[in-house]
Amino acid sequence: MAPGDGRLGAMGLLQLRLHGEAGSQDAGMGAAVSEAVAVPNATMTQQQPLTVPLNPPFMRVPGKVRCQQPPWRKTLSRWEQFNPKIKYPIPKQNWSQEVNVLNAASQAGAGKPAAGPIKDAGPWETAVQKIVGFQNLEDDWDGQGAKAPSRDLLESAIGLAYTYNHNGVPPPQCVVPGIDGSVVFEWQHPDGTFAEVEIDRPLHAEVMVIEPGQPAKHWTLPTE
Amino acid sequence: MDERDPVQDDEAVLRRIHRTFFDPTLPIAVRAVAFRPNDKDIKWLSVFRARFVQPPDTLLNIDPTKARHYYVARLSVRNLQSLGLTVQPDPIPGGPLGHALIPEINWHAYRVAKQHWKPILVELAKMASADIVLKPA
Repeated sequence: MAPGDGRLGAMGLLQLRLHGEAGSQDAGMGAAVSEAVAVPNATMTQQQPLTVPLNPPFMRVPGKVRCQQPPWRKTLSRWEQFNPKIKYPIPKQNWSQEVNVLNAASQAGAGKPAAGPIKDAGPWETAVQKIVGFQNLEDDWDGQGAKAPSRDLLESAIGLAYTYNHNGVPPPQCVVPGIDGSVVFEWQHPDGTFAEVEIDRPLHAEVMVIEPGQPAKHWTLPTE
Repeated sequence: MDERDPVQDDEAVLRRIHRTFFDPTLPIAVRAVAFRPNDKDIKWLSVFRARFVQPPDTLLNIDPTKARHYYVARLSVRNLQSLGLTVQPDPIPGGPLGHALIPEINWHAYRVAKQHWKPILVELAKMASADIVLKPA
């Protein structure tokens, strides 16, 4: 595989984050749990639901840690937590920083065997693994002329996945390659709400959210 | 009955859906991406008229090793019209019978008005999810 040819090497992305040297250690669900342990219940205010973890948190109880769901958490559905979070700004600096971390990890891990799960993607691990798998796509993978995503685009997609994970956005139900070399994240909620993020070129994505009874909302990433 | 005859309101058309774009565990099983035009679809989005062709036959002009990864969905022309879409006959010499096109959905139109088309593609995905007529073997 020639360098700079726009495709990942055989180990390429699979090595990303496998060796523990990159990325925030308190990302994802780990952060959610530690946050809930560290923050006393009394400090929770009405603004905090926007930043709460998605799963029932572990709360500190003298002598042991137990799983307990406070009343205000019960009032928020998974989607109600998700919906504002996907609207959080994604500055270019944050996104590109994640991509740079991926690049550094990829270079550091060159030549090492690719095995085991991707470590610190938290609840986004499955989505990230799926994106990594897209490196194996070739042009015309669908028999109708679909383009395979480039390495740069895949790195951007993974970088955005990590950025969303840090923001507490739950992972999408679906991650698919587009026929034009893009990568698409999709969320569906039983109430009919639909959200789609299409990474259509490196460090650029289009977001669409359709809520029942409302016109579709569109914006692009990065937000600044 | 000729495949060059105008498409009637009470007809149905078939659309090929790659298995990548199908997840039966989701409320909308078909991804909207399955209806997204690419730069090959300069003039149209390709469909087949159900009265001229059986679902497996719509896959005849795809590499057999890749054709086995396809679902086929059926869409009512009337429902397409409700989205502002039309279907025009477009026979392919030597290809599967009943080829037709949806001229409104093409690469150029999509590129210049994505925010208009994306919600429509989601509606198409919902319609397709409701009537899958062929599954991969």
